[in-house]
Amino acid sequence: MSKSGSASLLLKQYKDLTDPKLNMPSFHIELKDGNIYVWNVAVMVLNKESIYHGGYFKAEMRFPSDYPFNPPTFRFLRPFFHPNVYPKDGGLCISILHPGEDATSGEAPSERWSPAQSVESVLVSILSLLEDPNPDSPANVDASVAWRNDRERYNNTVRRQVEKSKEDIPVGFKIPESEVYTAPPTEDVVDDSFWYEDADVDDDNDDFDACGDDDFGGDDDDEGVVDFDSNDEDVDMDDREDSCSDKDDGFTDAGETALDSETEVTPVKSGVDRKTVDTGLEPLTPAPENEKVDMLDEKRSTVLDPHESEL
Amino acid sequence: MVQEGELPTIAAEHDPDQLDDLTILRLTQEIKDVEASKNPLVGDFKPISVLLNEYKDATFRSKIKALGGGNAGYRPVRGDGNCAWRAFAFRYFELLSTLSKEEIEASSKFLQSRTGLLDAAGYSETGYIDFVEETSNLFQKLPDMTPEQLVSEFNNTEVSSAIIVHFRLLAAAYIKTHADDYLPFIDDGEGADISEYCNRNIEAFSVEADHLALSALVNSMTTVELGVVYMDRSAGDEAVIHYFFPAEAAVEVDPPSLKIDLLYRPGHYDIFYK
Repeated sequence: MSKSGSASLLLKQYKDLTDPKLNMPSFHIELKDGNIYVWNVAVMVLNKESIYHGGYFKAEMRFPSDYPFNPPTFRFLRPFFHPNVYPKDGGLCISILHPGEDATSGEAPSERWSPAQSVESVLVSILSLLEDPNPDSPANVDASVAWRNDRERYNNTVRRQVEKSKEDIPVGFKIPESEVYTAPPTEDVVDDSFWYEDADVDDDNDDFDACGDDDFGGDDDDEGVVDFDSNDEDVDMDDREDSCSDKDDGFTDAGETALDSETEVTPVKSGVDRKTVDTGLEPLTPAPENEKVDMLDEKRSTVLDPHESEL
Repeated sequence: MVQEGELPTIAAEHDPDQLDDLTILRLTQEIKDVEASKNPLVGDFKPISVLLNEYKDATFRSKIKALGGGNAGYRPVRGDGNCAWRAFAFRYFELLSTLSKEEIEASSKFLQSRTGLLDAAGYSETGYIDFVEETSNLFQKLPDMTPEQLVSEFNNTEVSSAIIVHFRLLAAAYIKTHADDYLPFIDDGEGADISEYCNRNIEAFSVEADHLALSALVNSMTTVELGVVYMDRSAGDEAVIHYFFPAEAAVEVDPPSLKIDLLYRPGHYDIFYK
């Protein structure tokens, strides 16, 4: 199949999303090595009430050569403690990245991938999922349990992640002040002391360790938060784990009764109205438009090559 | 591409007790892909006698014979979950290609005007424009195309997939804008969500068309009558033919109306020629 269609569609969406007038302040997007099929996306939550506020979460989006007929994948490049993020590789499990079909049982109503979705609608859904996890299909059981039963531990872990993620903020980059996206009101308010907590206060650290989440490491040491090998170019789209459930943990037995109905992921409408995005605010990372175009021109050959070494 | 012989290996990797829904879906898709790769997206016309040779069953044989001889035939379409959509779309353009340039243009204009349905249903232009454009491109090339070129155009995955998405969106938009008409058929008693139904069954690529989808497609196009020949083991010596007529006829312009026939065998649609 010709790749030109998917490449030109992605290029168009990339230009739209990085257009200073149209961009989404919550996302800092660049092409990885000029490859239109691999995007580096940094996620920022601009809502000051959010426990994720201040973080700069690097992630990678990969697009199949037959995009948009098949969905992209999305994974965080640092460990990301969240019910719907795999501890193994940071892969995000969200319904909008799964194709249709009605065969799944008992899953909360949520939007599925269709060719009419866009990168923008996916990103909006991901932003929404951060603070509104879907505990019905946990990719990280420990995070899911903590989110439901021990919110303080959950929030503290997230907070540490936020701090850690600040190391990734590129020199000269300022996290935007204004937000366009408004997080849905959540009932769980972070307790006040949390915000004044010193960096070294971590009373529940042992508790955290006791849950045996080896992937994240329990302590605040730098080694505790390791990078996935983010340079690994051999990620095969076809080998990705499609299941959102960690079947080994017996979570479903323990968890089902405790699930809150309010925790269902709110479906996000596809096709976000451009007008809500265009706030007329100052652009975040006004990389000169020319520079980007040049970059693409230079890499013309790789632009049309979805997965470099894979092919 | 997965080869046929590798299938047991795929299955063996998975403990049946550990299979979750999405893995099952993925494995099902892999099996479908293997099947699909054996056939072109849109095949060549075959006389009905070829179909007859495929069956030994008396019921099928008598039904196939009753479809008629002479020029009757069918055109196989790949069974990849898009078959009804692809069959419909191909036959739509094939019928149009036999008409005058003016008639093709009128049809193109009319289909363009149906884009309003997408807006009314809440789809953003950025979401659908690429697919609609692919349809327009084919309309422009159509008057100068040979039948062989049309087949080859539809065997270009990108082109026919985009057109399928366009048609899927039209059908979904019709359902969304006529929710009252369709809700009773979707509601399973626990409350149904029209958007969710469309998202999972109509918009989603590679999900097979159900009766509702075909009805919505015909209603959204307004210029096509669709007949589906049901070739199954139901009683009788003749196949049941179900017709879908558009609920509202085209009024704004006067594009020629078309009659498309599909041959349905359980789980699959091909194009039928009377």
